[in-house]
Amino acid sequence: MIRKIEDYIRGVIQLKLETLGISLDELCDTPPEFNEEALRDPIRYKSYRAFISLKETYKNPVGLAILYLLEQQYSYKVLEMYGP
Amino acid sequence: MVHDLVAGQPAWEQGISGRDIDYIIVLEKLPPRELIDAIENYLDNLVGSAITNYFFKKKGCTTLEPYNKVIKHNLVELHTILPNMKNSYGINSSVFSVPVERLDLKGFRKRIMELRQSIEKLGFLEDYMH
Repeated sequence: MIRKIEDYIRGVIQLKLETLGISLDELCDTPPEFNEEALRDPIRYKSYRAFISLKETYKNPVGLAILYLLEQQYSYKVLEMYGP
Repeated sequence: MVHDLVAGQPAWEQGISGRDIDYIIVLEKLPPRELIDAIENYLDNLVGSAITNYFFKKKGCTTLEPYNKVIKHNLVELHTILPNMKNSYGINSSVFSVPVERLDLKGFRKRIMELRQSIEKLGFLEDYMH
């Protein structure tokens, strides 16, 4: 089951990267912590936007994986979950 | 638009963060921190590897090191809380609430059930073929 969820997560990420048309270098270009200076730079801002868009794509699939692991694998009842 | 929050304000406006997704999970009982760290680490590497593998297959890079390790930053962060701790995370409904989105657990559970059913169907077909 977890393999299916892993495939689902990999699939949405790779499909999004295909449509974003961004290179790994561009994705790594901004410092790990996005800062104000990076956001003012139009080139870096493009990378930032691409990363935000990628994050939005895997937010729900990763949420699903968290729910599956906590409830089905480790028997913890999840009442609510919030994301950004 | 998705952003990380610090003290209830978008982190990027404060010049902080932006790489990871912070999940706030409300549970009946708190799991041990080691378990949460292990899940966090597993998901971090899963997402990071998916990103790197895509570029590796496209010949856009020569490394297989997960993206999270390349940028030295985690991509997924889990915050587990009890229902009575919601106020301190600013997620009780009020006009002053932190702008976080409540994720659709019902939808997630339905999707998990569908995945399980598709696996069972596949198992049945495999048995039938043999």
